[in-house]
Amino acid sequence: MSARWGMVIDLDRCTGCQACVVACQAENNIPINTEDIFHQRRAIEWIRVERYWEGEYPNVKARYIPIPCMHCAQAPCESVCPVYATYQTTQGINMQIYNRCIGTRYCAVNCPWHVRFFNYWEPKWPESLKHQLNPHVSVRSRGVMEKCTFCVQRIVRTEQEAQVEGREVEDGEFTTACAQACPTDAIVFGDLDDPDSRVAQMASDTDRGYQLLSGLGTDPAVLYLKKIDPDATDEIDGIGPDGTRD
Amino acid sequence: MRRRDFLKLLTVSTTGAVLFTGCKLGGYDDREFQKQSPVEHPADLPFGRDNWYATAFPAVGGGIGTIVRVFEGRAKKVEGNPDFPLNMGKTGPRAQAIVQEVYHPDRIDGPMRRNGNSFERISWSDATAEVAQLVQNASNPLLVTEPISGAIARIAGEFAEESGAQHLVYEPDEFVVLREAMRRVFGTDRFPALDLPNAGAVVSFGADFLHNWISPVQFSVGYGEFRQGGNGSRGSYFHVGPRLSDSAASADRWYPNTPGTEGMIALSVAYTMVEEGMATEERAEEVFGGISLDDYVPEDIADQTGLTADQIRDIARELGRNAPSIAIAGGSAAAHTNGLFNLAAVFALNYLTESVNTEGGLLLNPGSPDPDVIPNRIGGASYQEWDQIIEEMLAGDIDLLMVHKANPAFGLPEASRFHDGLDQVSTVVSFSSFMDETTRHADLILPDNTTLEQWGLDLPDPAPGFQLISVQQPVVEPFVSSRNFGDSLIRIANEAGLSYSWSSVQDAVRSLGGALAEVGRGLPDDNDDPREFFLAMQTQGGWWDEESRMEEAPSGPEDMPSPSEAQFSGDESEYDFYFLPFPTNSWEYGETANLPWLQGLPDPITTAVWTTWVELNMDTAEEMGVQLGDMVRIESPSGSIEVPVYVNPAAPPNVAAVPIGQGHTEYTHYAEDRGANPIEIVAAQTDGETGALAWAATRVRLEPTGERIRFPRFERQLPFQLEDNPVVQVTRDA
Amino acid sequence: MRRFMRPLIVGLVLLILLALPVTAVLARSYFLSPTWQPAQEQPIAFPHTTHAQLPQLECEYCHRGVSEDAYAGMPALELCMDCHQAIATDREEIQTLIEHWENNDPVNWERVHQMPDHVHFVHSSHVNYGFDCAECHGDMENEIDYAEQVRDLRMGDCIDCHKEYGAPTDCSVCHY
Repeated sequence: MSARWGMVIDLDRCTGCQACVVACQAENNIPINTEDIFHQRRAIEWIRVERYWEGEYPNVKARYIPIPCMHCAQAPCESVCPVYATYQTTQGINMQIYNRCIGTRYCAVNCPWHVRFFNYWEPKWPESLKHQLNPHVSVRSRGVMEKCTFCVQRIVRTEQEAQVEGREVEDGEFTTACAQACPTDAIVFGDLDDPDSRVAQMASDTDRGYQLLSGLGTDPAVLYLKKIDPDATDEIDGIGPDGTRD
Repeated sequence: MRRRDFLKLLTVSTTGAVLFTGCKLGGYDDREFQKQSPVEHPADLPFGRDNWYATAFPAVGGGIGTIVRVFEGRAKKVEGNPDFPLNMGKTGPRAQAIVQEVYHPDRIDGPMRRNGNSFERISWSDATAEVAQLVQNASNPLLVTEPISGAIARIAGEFAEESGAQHLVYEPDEFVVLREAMRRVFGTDRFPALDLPNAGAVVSFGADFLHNWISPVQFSVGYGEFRQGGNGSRGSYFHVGPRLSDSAASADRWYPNTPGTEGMIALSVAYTMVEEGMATEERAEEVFGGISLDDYVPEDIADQTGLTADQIRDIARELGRNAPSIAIAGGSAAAHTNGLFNLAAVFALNYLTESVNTEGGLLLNPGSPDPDVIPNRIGGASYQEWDQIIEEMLAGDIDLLMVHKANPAFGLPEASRFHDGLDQVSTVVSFSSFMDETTRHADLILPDNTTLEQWGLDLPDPAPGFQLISVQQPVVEPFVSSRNFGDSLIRIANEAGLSYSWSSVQDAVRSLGGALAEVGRGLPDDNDDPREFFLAMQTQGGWWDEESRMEEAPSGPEDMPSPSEAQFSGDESEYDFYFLPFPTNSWEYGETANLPWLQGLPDPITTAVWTTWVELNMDTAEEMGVQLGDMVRIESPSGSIEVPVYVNPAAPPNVAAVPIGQGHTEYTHYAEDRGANPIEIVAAQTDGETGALAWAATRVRLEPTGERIRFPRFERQLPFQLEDNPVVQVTRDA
Repeated sequence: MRRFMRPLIVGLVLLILLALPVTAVLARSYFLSPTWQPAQEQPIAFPHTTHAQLPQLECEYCHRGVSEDAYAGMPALELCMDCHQAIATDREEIQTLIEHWENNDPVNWERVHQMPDHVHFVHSSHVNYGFDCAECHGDMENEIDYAEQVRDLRMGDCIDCHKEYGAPTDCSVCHY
């Protein structure tokens, strides 16, 4: 089946609740991020919610943005992999093939969005929590990169079902774990090549669309819709991420 | 998963049995096909397909309807039930994490009896017999639960009645005040729904309604539509509150006020609305009765509230000119000595904008179709009622305490002396699934099933503006030797020779649920065969009737509380900060701190994980010479805690905000001895009218300890540098 | 000539020394690979031929997921008992089966085809394409009594077949 999977994230709907983050962890067997892992700066979140400060008290704004892998059409991570462990599928997904990966981490270095994560150690779960693991997603071992897959296991599964029933995959028949959980419907996933799909219509109907770091020319498959703020000023006061003044 | 698929794959019998047809040769007819994977089964042996079962959450996430993916007899993933009107297929972070409750490594794995300082496993029959004996012999037993409704409320009610036990509900005091405010202003016992998709404006006074206030998933679903829905105009949202909360960050404007002045601001808003012709004087008179609004001219009171007169007028215009509009109040606004007045004054504004029970307004919930048969959610006791109970406990008058899920030993401040009281109770029986602070004092533990292993029939509160009952069914077998709380009560009662209407919770759920067929309206509409009717209920996740809305809105508040000013414990000269505890996105009031996913989930504003912190203004921190990670001692008139500093660009200079939820001394190794519990040092002040704990009415002083820790947080994890190219792009045009 | 011998021998020895651990690692991963593991003895010796011939059961009668799901699936005890509460109840193996049934204790069948965790094989796609089960599993109807792995089933085997039939060879078809 031909498709070009993509995502539209409406920042005006996002409330930063992080339902997408937990949903992704539950769906994709992401190891538990312990306090030590945060200290080592090795926490794994295939989708994360970042918060940016703007202005100074009391006219201060905090703005949220969920950031998954952009699944670039011209992905900088792909060209640097010495063993072709990361590549673009025919459906536009930037895939990481775990059994091929030898852990050079070049791809992570070359990703401007930092959405690739390395398994420094064998992932650990208490014995009982292993019962929750999703059997349709590989548990990544030590020494390999991992990243957002647009929930490829759901795509494959839906395609199989459609194949068995002898029909095409319908728009909205399935969606990624993050989009399904998102309570405000800020994340919409679908086939960008299907002009009738919701995601394609949202992408074409809006004048709020922008791509993160569009200047790099990587052509991300994730389109953001600008946050609306009637009081927005054009100049943005710089406050560093940890609250220190620049 | 297509929308309709899970309907085909539904539960047929007790625990998701799958029916096959085969060459039946007779015999064994009553046994349906059971799942093939009980607890000890090797996980790599695939038995075919995964199933989705519809169920519901009683408390977490505001009673939302869910579908759960089950594979090899294991719960794998929770999704929202797309048919369930409350959340329409959506979930929140805490609902997503609930699977970890089932497979938690520190779950209590069977009935226990105290043996010195530790516990020993006993059999269920011994445990039941022992408790039955205790119930028979007790002269003054007390049953403490979380807020319960529907089937379990009937079962607990019957148990209390038969055994002569007092029944007390524990819930965070904020909701005790909200319930009373709803009674006084709207004459209803139930929380409100918000018709956000059709609303033009929302002003929230302190309620973090998109993250942890009464029904965050329901409100978030509405919020998405409110902002970018099909009706063409973008709703506008203002937030008034002393902290830039997780929800406030999404607001168009945030006005930080002096803590405890929310009611005063509301009255000033009302004054402005009358003055600027957005409401008539007569209507204001009707609504605010004996209160003289002329005392609340924005220019006169602005200084006191911490807002400017223009800002107050802005709020009035926001509400008055964007009809239909909604004003809500909650969170710390309710946690002052004038909490009830704060909430009532804000909610009464909805009368001025004529948005009570109208499209795009604040919707009142009709509640149960028959409250005697299926009770509405029972509200919690106020701090004052707890105080009396604790007095009784201290005097040794209570000889048996049975506690289910509620954890007052964590939620009540040190000043309440609850711990001392517990020591004076001769026997404590806990029905918790996890070892928490209250259960630590137990003599017997009869662990409850977790959410995904239970039967239940609940009334979510708030419902979406019409009658709604959710059906909770076990999607997997209990993972350990646990038993439904209700079933334990029934067996204890039977053993003690008390009579009971049902043989099990399942029995109660089926009979109460089946009886809804006789209501003769709503969905499912297949009312002929009670068995089929109940099956349809299970399939769609409950029963609801969208037509059953409250018809008449009251014309004004029945009994408007009179204005009062917030009193604070601690003198301003000695204690220079307002102490502001707040419930969080991940742990709410601490209930979900035992789940590792939620411990490791960054706080939306600070991105902090696995810890407690105090948020300080940048200038204040500079003056005090502290930075991120520096430990400070927070001293209140009734105690002190030590927490690291987070310098928050949005923190008001005189407010020290500390998240609630950590500081557990028990509650699994993920939560134990982690951070601090701000409620511990809250002074025992109460709201004058409801007697609820005013947990935001304490002043504190801060003292750097000189220590510094590495502050665990997600921010700075990744070197995301985009100065020239703003990550979050903003536009002015709607 | 002679002066080259010494460095040559030293070089060779070094090479062998270096090669040893590499060989050891490769050998270890080869022999420990799931595909290499011999099948364990089943808790109940289930003769496939008998069931396929006498009552003429289709494969799908028991492996119900095969045409719709990724997994072929194992039958529930109830399915066995549908017939075996009456048929051949005196045999030792059937006695074991009945014991499991009466104790409500599922049979822990041993897995025959071991795949590494990162490989996702989907039965339904292959069966619906028109492959006979025997293509991979051998002739269970006439020849093989007790299930065993008859095909190589390593990646080369999969790829060859995929190429032959024009199926996609995208990595993500099987690895995710």
